[in-house]
Parts: sequence; C-alpha cells; structure tokens
Amino acid sequence: MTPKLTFYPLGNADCCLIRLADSRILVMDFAATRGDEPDDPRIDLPKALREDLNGRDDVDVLAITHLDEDHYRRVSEVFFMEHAIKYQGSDRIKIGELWVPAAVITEKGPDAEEARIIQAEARYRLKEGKGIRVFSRPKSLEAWLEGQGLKLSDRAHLITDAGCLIPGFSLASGGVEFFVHSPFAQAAADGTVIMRNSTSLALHATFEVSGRPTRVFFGADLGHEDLAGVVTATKKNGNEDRLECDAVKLPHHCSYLSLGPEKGAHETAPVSEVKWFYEDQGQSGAILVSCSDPIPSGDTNDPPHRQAAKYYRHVARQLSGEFVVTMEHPKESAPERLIIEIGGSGASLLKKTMVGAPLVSRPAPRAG
Amino acid sequence: MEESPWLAPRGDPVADATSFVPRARALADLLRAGDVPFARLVSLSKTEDADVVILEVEVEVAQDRVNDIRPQERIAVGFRHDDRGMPEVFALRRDFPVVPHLIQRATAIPRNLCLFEDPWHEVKLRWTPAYFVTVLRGWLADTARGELHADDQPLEPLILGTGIRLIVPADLGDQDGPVRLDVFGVDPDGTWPVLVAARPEQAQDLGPRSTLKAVATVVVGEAQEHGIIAHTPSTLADLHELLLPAGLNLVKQLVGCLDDWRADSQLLDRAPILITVLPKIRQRGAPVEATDVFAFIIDGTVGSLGEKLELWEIHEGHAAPLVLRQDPRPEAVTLQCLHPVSELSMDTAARVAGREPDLRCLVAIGQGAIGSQIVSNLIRMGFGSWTLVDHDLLLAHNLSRYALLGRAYGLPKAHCMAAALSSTITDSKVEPLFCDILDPGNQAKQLAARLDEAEIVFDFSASTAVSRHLSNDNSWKARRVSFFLNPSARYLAMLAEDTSRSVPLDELEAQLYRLVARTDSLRAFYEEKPESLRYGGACSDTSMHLPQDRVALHSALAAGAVQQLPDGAFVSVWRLTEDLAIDRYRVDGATCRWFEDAGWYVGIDAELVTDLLAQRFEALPSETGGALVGMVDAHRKRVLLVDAVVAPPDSEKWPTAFIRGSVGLRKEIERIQGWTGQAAHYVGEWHSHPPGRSLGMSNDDRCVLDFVAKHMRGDGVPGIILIAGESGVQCHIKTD
Repeated sequence: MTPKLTFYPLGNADCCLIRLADSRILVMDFAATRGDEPDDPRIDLPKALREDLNGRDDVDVLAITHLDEDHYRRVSEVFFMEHAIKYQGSDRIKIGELWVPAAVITEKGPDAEEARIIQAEARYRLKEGKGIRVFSRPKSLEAWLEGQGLKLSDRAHLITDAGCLIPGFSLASGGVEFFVHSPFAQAAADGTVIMRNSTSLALHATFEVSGRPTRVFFGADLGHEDLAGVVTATKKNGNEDRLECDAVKLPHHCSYLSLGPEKGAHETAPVSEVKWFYEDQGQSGAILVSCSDPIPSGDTNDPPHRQAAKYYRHVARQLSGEFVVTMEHPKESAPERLIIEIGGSGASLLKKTMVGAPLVSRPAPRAG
Repeated sequence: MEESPWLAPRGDPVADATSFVPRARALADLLRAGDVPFARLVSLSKTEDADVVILEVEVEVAQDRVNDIRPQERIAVGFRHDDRGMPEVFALRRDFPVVPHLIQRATAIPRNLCLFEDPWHEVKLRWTPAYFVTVLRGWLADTARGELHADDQPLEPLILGTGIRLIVPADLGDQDGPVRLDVFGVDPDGTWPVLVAARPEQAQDLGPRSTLKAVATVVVGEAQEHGIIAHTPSTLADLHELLLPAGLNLVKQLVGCLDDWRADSQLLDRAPILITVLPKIRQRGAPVEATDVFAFIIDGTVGSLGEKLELWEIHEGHAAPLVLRQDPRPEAVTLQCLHPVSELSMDTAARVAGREPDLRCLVAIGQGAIGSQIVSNLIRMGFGSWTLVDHDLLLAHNLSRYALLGRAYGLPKAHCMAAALSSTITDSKVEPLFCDILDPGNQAKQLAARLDEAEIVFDFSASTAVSRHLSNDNSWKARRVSFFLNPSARYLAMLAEDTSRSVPLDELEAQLYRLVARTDSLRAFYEEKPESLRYGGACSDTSMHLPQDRVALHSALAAGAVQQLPDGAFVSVWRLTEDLAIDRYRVDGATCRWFEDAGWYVGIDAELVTDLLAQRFEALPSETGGALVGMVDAHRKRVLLVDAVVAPPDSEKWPTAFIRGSVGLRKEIERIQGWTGQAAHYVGEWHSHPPGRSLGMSNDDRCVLDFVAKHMRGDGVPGIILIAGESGVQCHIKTD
C-alpha cells in the first residue's frame, strides 16, 4: 500500500491522517471544527475520519501535539477513553497508543473541560503503563510520577526524548521512522534541565518507498523561536538530515510568528535558522501545507497571514514545489481532503477530480 | 528587475469574453466563476483570427519528475474565429521543456502542446471547457511522469504538424554512408498525397501507381541525448545549422550526393528529399533507444537545386558542372517538412496489436484456407519466424477463403504466402517450403532442418494422416499443435501437445472424440457434412463448402489461442451457435498408458481409467463391464481407447462374474461412430474384478478374449479385453 497523508479542511485547525505502507493508521491532532450551519465549508471530521478508516474502528496512534483546542476539539466525543466508562460507547474509535508531550501530563488544571478529559486519559494510561507514549522527561513529569507512587525509571520505556526515534516504527517495519524534534530539554546556566521551547510535539517522519526517502516535518504550532531552537539543537547534534523536507505541515496555520518576529509589509522575513530550514533543507518539489483558513488578501491579526503565505509561496516556487492551503484545496468554495501520496518519486499532492464530487461528498439540500 | 517567468500571450488584452467565440467564452466564463477545480483565469486577449484565454492550472506532480513540469503552469489557448481547427494550446513558461507530443512550429517557443490525437471534428463532439481543462492537466501530469507517450516510443520527438506523409523503410540508419531512395507519390484524390520511399532495387513494384517521382538521400547523425530539431526549418541553411550538433555537415553531404546524382540525367527532374536519421539515447554511452526520423522536400528539382547551390548549370537536360565553384548558398534553398512514417516491421506490427514481438521459430504444415489465415493473422501481430510447408498450388476457388487476394493462379501456396507476408512486413521471416510432409522427396533434408529448429510445429493440414505422422515422428523435438475445422466450418478443434510432449497429438485426437461423443452440443461436429463442391472436371476436382466468414472467424480465434498457448496439453473446441455466438469447450490432455502384445499397442488415458475404476467401485460387490470403443491406426498397429459404453441393461452382474448384455448396445455404438465421424468404433470388452483378485485373466476371461479376437479378425484388428481391478487396469491383447 502506498503511504498517504490526508489533511482535512478544518479552517484554522489541525488533523492529519497518516496511513503507512503496512496499513497502520496514525492521526496527528484531531480538531472537529465544523459547525451546524449547512453552508459551513469545513469538513465533518468525525464522519470523514470514519470513512477513511475503511471499516476499522480504531487507530494505531492518536497524537495530540499540545493542549490547544484547534488540535483536540471533540476528541472526547469521538474517541474511546479508557479512563471513564462515560466515554466508552461502542461507536467510538479506539486508540492503540496515545502520543502526548509531557506537558499534557504535567500541566496544572487545564481550563478547558475537553483538555482535562484528554489529560485524564493520558495520565490514566501512563499510570497503567500501556497505550501511551510521552515525549520528553522534564522534572515536572518525574514529580508527577512520584506523586502517583511511581519512579521515572518505571515508565522510561514509554517516554521518548527529542533527538530519538519513536520505538515501533522503522524503515523495515512500516516503511517509516519518526524522529522527535520537540519538545526538547535544554540545560540552564545552573545546570538544571528546563524546558525552554514550546511544549508542542514536533516530528520528522522519513518514509521510504522503492528506496526513495520522503521526509515530512510536522510542525505543530512551533513559533519561530521554537523552530530556530529545533534547528540549532539539530545542527549541534549533527542531525541536519532530520530536517530535510519533502513536505511540511506548516506551523500554526500560516502565522508570521512561525517565521520571524515581524510580519513585514509584503512578505515576512524569516529568522536565519528558519530560512535555512525552508530554503536549504526544503527538497526539490517540496509541498508546504498550511492547515488554515484561505489566505486573506488584506492584513489580519489572526493567522493565516498573507505575508507569511507570500514567503511560503516564494520558497515553493524556488523549489519547483507548491504551497497549498487546506481550505483552498481544490477550491475555496468547496474544499475537500488534501491528500499527499508518497511513492517512489517522492511526495505528490493528488489533484483528482470527478464529475459532481462536491455534490456526492455532502448531503443534498432538502427538496420540497 | 527580475524577468517574468511567463511569456506574454499574443494579441491585445481584452477585459471580458463577451466578444469571444462561444467555445472561448465558455472556457473564460467557467474559469472566471471559479467552477473548475485546479484552474483559474489569468487574462484574455484577442488576435486578428483568434480569441485567446490565458489560464493557470494546477498539475499533479511528484517531486521526482521525468520532465520539468511545475505544479502550476500558465497556458494560453487560442480559439480560431472560424472554429475550423483544434484550439491551439501554448505553454507560457519561458523554460517549459522540450517534451514528447509538442506540435512543431516555425518557432520553438512558446511550446505548442498536442493534447488530442483525434482530429478536431471528433474532439469537438466531447469538448467542454471542463473536459478540456481535465485533458490539459492530465497531459501535463503524464508528461511530468514521462508517461504521456507509451513505452513503445519513449523518446519520440516533437510531433510534426500536418504534412505529406513519407513512408520510409523500417531499417533506415542501419547502413553506413549516404543511401539513395527512390520516392513515388500516391495521390488518390489530390488532397492527401502519400510518398513512398524505397531502395531502387525494391522500388519497381511501386512504379506503376506513382504520380510523382522524387529521389531521397538519407543522412545519419550521431546519437543524441535530446531531440535537436526543436523548430521547423524553412531553408537548407536553417536545417544545416540544426544538424551541426549531431555531427552532420548537411550541405557538404548533399553536395557529395548531388555530384553522384548529376551523372543520371533522369534524376535531374525529380524533387529532392532529405531524410535525416537521428538516433537517441538516454544518456551518454547508453544504447540507442529510439530514432528520430525527419524528412524535408526541397522546393524545385534536383537540377534546380544544383543550380541554386552553384554546382552546375542545366544545359539541354544535362547538368554541366561549373568549373569555378562558389561556396554553396544553402539559404537560397527552401524546403518543407514531410511527415515520415516507418514501413511495417515485426516490432511495429506487434505494437500496433498491443503485443510484444515474438520471433520464435515456427513451422506451419499446410497453407490452405485456415492455415493461410492463421499465419497471416499471427505475423501481422509480429508473431513468429515461420517456415510454411505446403504442397498445393493456388487455384481460383481457393481464393474465396484464402489469406491472399489477386490472381496468383498456379503458384505454390507456400510461396505466394511467403512473398505476400514478406513484402507486407519488411523484416518478417517467412520461408516457403514446397513439399509434401508425408513424402518430402528432395526437400527432406531442408524439411528436417526446419522441423529440428522449430519451437512449435503447427498442423493446419486438416489431414488425419499428417496429424498422425506428426504425432509419431520422434526424429525432432518440437511441440505439435493441430487446428482443424469440422466439415461445415461451424466448429474449430485445437489439439495442443504439452511442451514435453507427454501427450502426443494422436492421444489428444482420441480425447477429442470422447469430448465430442459425451457433449450434446458438440455431437454435430462430424455429422454436419455439406455436399462436396466440384470445381473442375477431374475426379479429384472437388472441394468443401467452407464459407469465408466462418474460416475467418475461426482463424482469428486460433491466432488468439496460439498467442495464449499454455504449457500443458489440452483439447479445445469452439462452436459457432445458430445466433452467431461462440461457445468454447476444453479438456486437459490426459497421459496414456500403453499395453503391448502380439505386435499391437493399446493405449488408455488416465481420464478413462478413472471413469472405469469409478464404475467398478459403484458396482461392488458385483463385477461390471461393457464394450470399448477406440480409434485404430492400422498402419502403426495402435489402438487408442476412446470411451467405454456402459453395461447394457440385460447384462448380468455377479460378485465373481459379469456377462455383458446387448440391448441397445449396437445403436449406442453406431451413435458414437456417427458422432466421431466413424473414427471411433467397437474395439473390445472391459469388465471389473472384485477386491482381492488380480488384473490377470481368469479362464472365463480368456474365453472372452478368444471370442473377441475371433470376431475382430475380419476387421484386421486384434481382440482386446480390459480388466479393471483394485490396483488399476490391465489390457490383454490377442490376434486370432
């Protein structure tokens, strides 16, 4: 089976389904944003995901990159939660392994109820010692575990640090390996390990099909400082190849802050590390995906920012690649799934059309 | 300021499409409305004779691309005001690559994409703006993947536009040095002339139908990694420049050629043609993968060309060389592009049929109605290097169901077929052998050599004698396959030996008879016998009523079956039903076990053995039995059992004895004889032994064998009884 990435048109929100060559399914974030209005162009994510599971009632992995609503909305309605019978209907999608950054475990009392449910699920699974993978091991995680009567070493096999590959995946098994870039720990001046970058989970996947590697960066909501930190740490460790990219899930819905501190009048200027990441590590024909609303023609406070989009378009042109926006694909008036197929010739953004596609992918209006 | 990556479209910009022809307006409006996925309107313009829509399309491309097609391409589409031709499609990116399926123009840029192979009047029927955008995007995506052009010609050059077609020999470029070809024109109605180029020694056949004569010279360039003719040259000087990268000094070669032609005053009035052969490779040092052939007809005659190049002056029909030659001035020589098309070769014949060429050595015995048509079908699909063995002469009545047309009366069929097929497909290997397979005489040695080198020998003779001969001749190893029609040509039978020949033709023949006798819908196979046809006054001047439609139909099926031939042995029968449908019946060939005694051989195949053992088992604890029918080759003293008739109702069955009754037996055997064309008839008896008894004969059994042998003596065949027991079957044979 050809590996595929499916991004959903959700507005400024994330969800990417990764189908591996061995049929395993990973879901990176899940934010069902569609409202009740019949003309809402955003996709009905619970329905779409179920369709894309092709009869399966589970996913191998659900990764929640961080506890912002545009990354987890309605997770507690759609997925089967082990920690409480209340969330265990038979029509729910089961989660093989829940991936969360350590902050999801350690954060003190998230405001949103849904975030608290996800935290409860992650904590339950970590306590049980199964069905969970936690990224990074800050002191606060160790402290939380001690509070539960557990030692960090008891759960070390469920924790993966930045700079490491995620167990269970390899080029030989599943045809993919996942390298963790974030969250990562940095030594403070006094020698203690602290978390200085964002607490988001950012990954670099290397797929291999017919001997051709295709590398995809999942940028969560990294800001430019976070991304610069990732670049610096990666370079320091001589892992530059782990930032080579054939496709990028652009961070934070095409926000200029993921490129640099200033929006810019026409085009955002990236900080040097970020510029290096896109322009030097971006591969020929690379695909840059903005999980966002359509790019506005005027200035806006919230992302997406047209100046950032201009920079990404500029990079895409330079690489003979493409910049694509989930809510504009294939057209703004009727966005559909955005599918990237990974084959022996690298990544391809599928652009299939069929007669009446927009009609058959949604209910017809009521006739009288 | 950075140069725009896009070329400016031709014409004057216009704001909207209201003044456009309907087709252009429909495209513009649809794009402007944003109703076409992956396409958007860029601008509109208007020229004197066309409306131009400029659009940008999104192309599905992988990162690694065979051709540098970008995810976004800008395209100009020109719609003629008179709508009489295909809308012209241009890529506006300055560095759009040279790719297959471009239309050659006087200027190479912008590239003119050739989206449709069908003529405009066909395309028009399905042309909608959305369809057009889909085709355009598909063209670009396929081109990016290098899949637009089929694998057969991966390095095909730019497609020439319209032009006079020039049919050229398939092996152009195989020879060293300049080659002269004589060119004849075929111009049936004065609108679409076709020129045919042939070597002078092969050109005689083409002469009588020519309406125009020209002479061509072929120049062969060095292998190139990419096409070098990116635009249509209009003068000799232009073409000369284009060919320099291929190591060709065209003017110098042409001057040398004209010096040779000058001596032949007949050539002076002919139109001169230049054919350039440019081999193409994927990368330096790689083998030649394709060859670009371009042809150009020079305006004027050979005589006037020499004058323009200041080589000679024409004086009273002769070319008088100039003593003081000036440098030739090729810019004064104008030329036009021809559209070269290769003659049919085995390779192209196969590809035209959607097949791979298959040049294995094959022998066809018999070139009658079905043989000629099967071979003709196969070779026109690039299948086989053939030896055609036949001892018959072509007569008028043959032509009503023959692969050939014309009046080649009296010539050997094998020779007529070989000559016709060889001239149709230039590199086909078809050798005639005029001889009788059963009595080859002085051709015996040659025949033996051909049979020895063959991979498969096909029997199209429709002769049992030939089939049996082929079956039993073990002096050569090739697999044998026999095809024949029933007398009405409503049925086609195929007997195919397996590759190791464990089931030879005669054993398959017996199994065909059983299939026919046991299958209701096949029982007419031998029973349909139209009256014979008399075509002359001599006793032997008779033939069969075989309608050509059925011969053609079955020959086509046979050709298909040959190409799908599996390794195992089998028997197949195709039946044309009353309402012109085709049924097919097939059984796998079963190996035979042979018993020998008294100078005779009796064979029974595994399928029949299984049947007899089943009947025995069913009858236990009693014995059972019945009569055997078989086919006899008296010449070779071989009997092949075809089937066993079940015990008549008045038979007596005991645990230790069986007495075969006779009620209805004669009728049943007569029926089988009829169904098998009298080939299968009564040959003996069989019965079963109970458990614990051997397959040897009891005293009673010996009496039966004596009885049978005595009564079969008059028919010149031995007595046979077969005993089926718990360890299998055993035949006992006796001549009285």
